[in-house]
Amino acid sequence: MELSRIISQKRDSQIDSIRAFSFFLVFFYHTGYTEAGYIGVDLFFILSGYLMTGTIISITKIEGTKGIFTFAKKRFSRLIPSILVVTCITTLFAYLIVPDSDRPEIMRTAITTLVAGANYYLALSQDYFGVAAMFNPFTHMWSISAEIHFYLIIAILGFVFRFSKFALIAFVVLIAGINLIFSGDSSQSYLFSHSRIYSFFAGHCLYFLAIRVQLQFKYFALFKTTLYGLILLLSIVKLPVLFGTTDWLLNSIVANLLGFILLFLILSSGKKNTPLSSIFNSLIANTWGYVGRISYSLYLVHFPILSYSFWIWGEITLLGLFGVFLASFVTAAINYKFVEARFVKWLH
Amino acid sequence: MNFKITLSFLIYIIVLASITWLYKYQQISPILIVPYKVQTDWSYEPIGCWNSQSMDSNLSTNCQLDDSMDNILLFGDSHASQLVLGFENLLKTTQAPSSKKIILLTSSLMNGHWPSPHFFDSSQVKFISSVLAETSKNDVIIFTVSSQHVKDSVYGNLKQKGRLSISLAKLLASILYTQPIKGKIILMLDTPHLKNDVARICYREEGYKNKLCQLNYDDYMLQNSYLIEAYDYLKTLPINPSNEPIVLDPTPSFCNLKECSLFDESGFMLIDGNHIKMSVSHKLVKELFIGVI
Repeated sequence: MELSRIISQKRDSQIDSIRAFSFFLVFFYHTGYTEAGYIGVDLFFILSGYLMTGTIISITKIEGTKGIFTFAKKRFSRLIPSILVVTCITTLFAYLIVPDSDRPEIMRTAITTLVAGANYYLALSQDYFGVAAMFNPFTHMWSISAEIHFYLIIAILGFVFRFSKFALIAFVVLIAGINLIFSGDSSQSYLFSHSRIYSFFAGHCLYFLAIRVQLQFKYFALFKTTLYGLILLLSIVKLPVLFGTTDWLLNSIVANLLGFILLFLILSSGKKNTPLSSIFNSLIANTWGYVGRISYSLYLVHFPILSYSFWIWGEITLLGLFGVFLASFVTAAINYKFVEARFVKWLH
Repeated sequence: MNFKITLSFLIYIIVLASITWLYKYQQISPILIVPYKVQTDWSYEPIGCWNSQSMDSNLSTNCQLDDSMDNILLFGDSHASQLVLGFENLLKTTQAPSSKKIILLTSSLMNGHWPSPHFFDSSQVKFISSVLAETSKNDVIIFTVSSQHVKDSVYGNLKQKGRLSISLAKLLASILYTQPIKGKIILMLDTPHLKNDVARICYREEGYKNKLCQLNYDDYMLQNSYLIEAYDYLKTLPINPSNEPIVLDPTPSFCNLKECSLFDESGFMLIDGNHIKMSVSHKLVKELFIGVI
């Protein structure tokens, strides 16, 4: 009974709001309207780190080490079916739209996506920040592969080592070592799981901080709105190069800090109202929350739709942008209802 | 429960196997809802002697050196083929066209696994070497290749670039330096290419405004840096000093200072993602080779 409650835990509307916000940051970056909207992925990673840590701790309390299978089943039943469906349909469209000369690259990325290796493959084969990345409808799958790697790592640390301090320190040292050995250029280090895991661990630390601290202060809403504004600004303005050629890194680090504080405020306040519901009317707030709920499906489908639009029209106008979003929204809603949610229900 | 997990796993395997099968065996699309038409102005597609020889065991007379003429021998891949059109035009417009003969030795060179030691000893390399050994002083040997064909050369893993450029240098050395060659050797840098086949977008009237159709100077330099590295490495190898290769750079035909463009008076200069139009080939050969051949 307790386990099924954990598995079907109620969605937090504030977390859905952040998901929706993060999705739009990424969407506007992919459509070329912002310079650094990729920081939305950082927010997704922090959220994931937070949620996975909580899930593992809850499952461990009931099932112990054996809970690793419950965790794997829960995560993969949510992730994999949508990946399979989106990969199949995107591949079929590649045969309808993409010239033969360019299709092998897309197919290779599709295969590496299915074996959770898309981020390493893409890091070694294309420039994520280059124009050509838009022509591969699986480019965005890098973050899904990275997410799967994070799940595996945190599951081992959580279930096998019970988040022991020694194991965590050893792991951090290991990751730092791998980073030193394989320090790549900007595009590569952006995509590698080992160079992005800090966001996930920020979420992990956030969990332990948020369950210990309860905040009550007057200007709570103002702080949150300011943090949202700062993150939005950060997605528009590209900060200078921190070192080497890694010109994404500073934006990412600042986004992690701001995202961490924002989430900490929300989680430790215990307030359940969505930060935007007071600003928008309930219809818009509900729609916003729904976007958050289907954000995983939206993330999966928006990029192939965008990429194929580039293949057909070459560029996206403002009207086209609206069309791409609408198409993504409808497709994601269908995928959420008939694949994502249904499969989880069927398997459990 | 086990049945459901097994079934899910089975579906996953089927999808993975299907896409892998499609990748390996079905690379040609049965239907394109947006028809992809190469906007070519090539009068024909030149095919290399080695490539046509595989279909017909006898080497045609067009592929044999003519002692009474100056032979212009091209080898490489389709980027060597595209120059044939320019040379044919050049000979037509010069005063003594009958004194020169154009021979395209290969129109695809980049098959095979580069680091493999057997690649340098392939029948294709042997064929090129055997023809080049027969050249005379007045003959010109031109090598050019698309850096795009070498995976990871430009857009990919830069850590492997050095290894691959050395592979190219070693390949060229095995062709050019293992025997005395009398003909003048010219190594040409690559013409610009875009990562994808975007000609259908760029051919539109307003194509020049599209970011996807613009040639970035740094990208072009990066593209050629791979070949420059290979050619530089080649120069470090022991060679006959009297026949040192000349390196020709087509960059000025596409770039002015640091501004590059793939558009000229005839519009977009490529027929796909990386091959130049026939009219551009005419212009390029005139600009680059008229003082050399």
